[in-house]
Amino acid sequence: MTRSLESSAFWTGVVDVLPFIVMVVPFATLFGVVAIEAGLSLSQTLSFSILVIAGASQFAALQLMLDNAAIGFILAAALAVNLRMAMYSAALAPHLGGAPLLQRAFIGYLNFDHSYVLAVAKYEDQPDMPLPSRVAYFAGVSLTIAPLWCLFTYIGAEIGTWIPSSLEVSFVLPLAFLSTVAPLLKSLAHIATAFVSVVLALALASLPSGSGLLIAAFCAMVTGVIVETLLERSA
Amino acid sequence: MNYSQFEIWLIIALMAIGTFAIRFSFLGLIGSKRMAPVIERMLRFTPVAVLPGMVAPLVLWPTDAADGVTLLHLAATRRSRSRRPQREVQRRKRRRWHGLSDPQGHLGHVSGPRRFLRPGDIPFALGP
Repeated sequence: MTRSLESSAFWTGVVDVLPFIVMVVPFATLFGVVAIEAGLSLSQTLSFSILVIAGASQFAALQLMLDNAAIGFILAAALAVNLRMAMYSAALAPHLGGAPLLQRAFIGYLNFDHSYVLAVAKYEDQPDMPLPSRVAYFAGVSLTIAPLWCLFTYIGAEIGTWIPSSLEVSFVLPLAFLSTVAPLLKSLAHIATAFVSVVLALALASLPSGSGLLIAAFCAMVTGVIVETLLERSA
Repeated sequence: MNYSQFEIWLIIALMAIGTFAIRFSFLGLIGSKRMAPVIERMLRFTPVAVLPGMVAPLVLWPTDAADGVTLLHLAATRRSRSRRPQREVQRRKRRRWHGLSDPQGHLGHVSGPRRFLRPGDIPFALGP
């Protein structure tokens, strides 16, 4: 009974993440192509995708390596791009913190944008979801994306220089995320949060390595709490 | 790219460890312990605080965002106009540095780095 519950949660996760594959496949392929072009070996390119498994920071590191930047700077910039995942980790902790250490380590390894976004939305939508089902849902989402990320990095690496020039990944991205954000705007507090996030992210866009986004997100979170508290008091 | 094989592997390994540490941080440290209610309440707003800020620049300045992708076509060296002056200064500085440390000009054939992506350009959620 519980097993079938978990397996259905797993497959729900798989289905929920399917639309995101449209973005993951070309991005992974691009990374493969670019890494080989930059001079990494096939095994290094694959290790990047398998061990680091964080697209934006992989590209950042690659760019800085082409600039022959100091290793310390490469690490600092690439990890700054990933700092937002500390927030993801914190957001997942109340929902998944009860899982065994090994499962949590596994969740940590696969804690990237898609798995975080879908999982937190799901857990908030269904607060009485049992813990094993939550873990199963997370696994469904992340175990769909992760192997594709690695497989298409490999394909990209093999393809080498061939890449269709009509590929417009940047078009797909905002549309996909707008459709993710819209259902999140369920109260005035959420709308205020989104507003602050947008305004500050634009204002701080010139700050390096996504640090502007981190500041914007933090201020937006504080705004959300303040607005929500005020609304509760006045109600 | 002027790194030894060892250095490249070192970068990959340290990035892997660092990234995992960031991702695991709260999941690992806090475990099943309850967080302060204010923190928990704040964290409930993370998706709606992060995602709009992530998307807004891509919607408002699509060419800038597309830059990263277009520039991936390795031959292209197109640069966004707004950042060009700053970049030129950096490049000149680098050249000067090469000039100082390499009077024979052996490094001179490195005609500036190929720029196809900047860290800030990268749309976050394209991949994992």
